[in-house]
Amino acid sequence: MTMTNEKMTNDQLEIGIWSSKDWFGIWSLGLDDQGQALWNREGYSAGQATAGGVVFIMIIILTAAVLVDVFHLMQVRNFAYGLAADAALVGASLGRDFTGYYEQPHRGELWLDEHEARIAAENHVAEEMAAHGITDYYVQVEVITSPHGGTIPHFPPVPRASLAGITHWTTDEPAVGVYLAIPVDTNLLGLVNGGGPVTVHAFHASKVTRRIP
Amino acid sequence: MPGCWRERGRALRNRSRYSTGQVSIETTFFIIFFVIMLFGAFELGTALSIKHSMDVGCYRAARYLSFAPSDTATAEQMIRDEVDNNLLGGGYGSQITVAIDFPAGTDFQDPIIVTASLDWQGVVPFLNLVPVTLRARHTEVVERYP
Repeated sequence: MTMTNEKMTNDQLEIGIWSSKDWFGIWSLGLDDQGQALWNREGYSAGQATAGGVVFIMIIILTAAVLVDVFHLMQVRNFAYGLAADAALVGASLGRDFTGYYEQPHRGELWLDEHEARIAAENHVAEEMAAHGITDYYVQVEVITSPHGGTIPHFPPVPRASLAGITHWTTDEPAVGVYLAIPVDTNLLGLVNGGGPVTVHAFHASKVTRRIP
Repeated sequence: MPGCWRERGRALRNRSRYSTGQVSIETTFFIIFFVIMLFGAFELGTALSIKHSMDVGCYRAARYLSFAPSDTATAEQMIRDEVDNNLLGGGYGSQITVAIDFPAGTDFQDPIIVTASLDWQGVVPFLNLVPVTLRARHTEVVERYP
């Protein structure tokens, strides 16, 4: 469509307002300054606010989704840390082998009963998870029974489970270590993870310390 | 200047006149939306802060009770103090409901269950948020040997 005909119809006029091709046609005809300024203003800024609004709302929605996800993950990780700490304490407490303390071959040394400590910690985790309505989780309990300590290699299985980034758990006294992994459904962050839930890892250990008064 | 261009110029001028104040309306919508987001974020942060302090308080109280199982008053006060002194939720300590339970007694290696709960409702302009109950719970074992 060209703008050389003075008797344009209304349809042509409407099309002409939005068509860049016609804009050049009008330019070449030479409008007065005011008309040209209005034309430029309309031609360049039409729909800008709408597009800006849509982009802004999308950014706000994405930000809100990320914030809610992060808060949710924080809360679950906090819970997991607390539970791992409680379970490790309960395991170390109930796993102390007082019978062995008075008998040979470990007389005078306080060892941990691996089975008792493990069962106590695992039961504690199961009870608390049930109390919070969490059914999908993974727990791994390791026990270092010797009063001289020891090392469990590749535990916790995920280094970021502990704040110190531990990969080989070492202690110099008998101790119980509890590793927890809880998958968390998220709104947006799961997309980064291929659509699956984000897994929260937590590790805590408690050891039996001998105090000499 | 041809007649049709005059009409067009007039139409454009009218259109420009009609859009006066558009920015104010958009700004008003933005501010309303922004205030809701801002207050929502603050209230969510407050709830998280209270929840975290309740968790820490329960943990400390349970640890204290494992060595002093008979001193429940101090343990309860530890939770209230922790909530009162948290970053965003000051003043909620007196509203906390604390439950301390020794299901098997207070002997050596008996379990201790410390639970704290708070009915909390966020305040966000233009929204009527549903009240929620924040809960925290920690379990320990009595370590005091008779």
